Amino acid sequence: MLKPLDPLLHSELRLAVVSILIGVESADFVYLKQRTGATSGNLSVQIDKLSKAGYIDVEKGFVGRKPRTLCKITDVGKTAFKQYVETLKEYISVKEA
Amino acid sequence: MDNQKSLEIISQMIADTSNQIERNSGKYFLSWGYTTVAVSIFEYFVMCLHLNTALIWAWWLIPVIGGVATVVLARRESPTPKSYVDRSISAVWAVFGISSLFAFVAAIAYGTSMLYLIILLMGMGTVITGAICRHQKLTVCGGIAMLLSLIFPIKHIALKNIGEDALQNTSEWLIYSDIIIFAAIFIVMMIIPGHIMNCKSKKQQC
Repeated sequence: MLKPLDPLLHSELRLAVVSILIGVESADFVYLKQRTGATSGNLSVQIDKLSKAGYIDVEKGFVGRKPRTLCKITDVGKTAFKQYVETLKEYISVKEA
Repeated sequence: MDNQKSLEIISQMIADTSNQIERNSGKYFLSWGYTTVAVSIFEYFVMCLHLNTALIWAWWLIPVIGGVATVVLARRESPTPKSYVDRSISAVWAVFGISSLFAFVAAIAYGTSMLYLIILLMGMGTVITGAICRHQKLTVCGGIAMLLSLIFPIKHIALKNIGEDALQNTSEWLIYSDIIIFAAIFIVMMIIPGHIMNCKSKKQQC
């Protein structure tokens, strides 16, 4: 019996955000918006969901006069992502068999 | 969303982020490379044409222009994430940059040539950066630069052995050619890999 894929990560935008954050120390909101091509509103909602689940840390501050939102993946997020990839591999190997 | 799509998103985002690091490094190599080459050529003419001796201080234009260019380029950069690779590369260049300044000061104090040491230190920095970024051409260029740094002691020994009379008859353009060799090595070590990195990142952006 295959494990279900984490519903929080099994969404295009949330998965893209976590995939970016997994390889960096931190990334700001503008960068995430550029790379994912999402709208600010949609991205904010998804970041909020990931943050509430404890997958990412969100730090709000200022650079000069400009507001800056910095996102960072947490250990919980890393474990969830790793688990998601493992489950995905199982799904693919079953499909190929 | 199907499984295939999930895999595509993961691999694309991870690849895009690592390419960003390479994209950022090229312009820094070019700014330091071109600054060093321009200042070196200027100093070569200062020495050979016996221009004002105070112009020897123009060497300090390299850290000043290079440093300002680095800050300006970093500020103009679109928001980029900070990665472990970024942090490692910054640390490497901070250490080698400060070491080069120390080498510069020591060279003035002891009245010896600083060019050999600076090429060696910058070459090491380039090799390490190439290894961290997994950029083989950058590693090779840094390695070649380190190897070419041996030209300086070899030339020094050769000039020492030709004798006082012959040395006095030797053209100053040849005696001071160390500076031109220094500039040429910087082309190999920083300008060529800088352009390769920029070219590669432009292709990836298309």
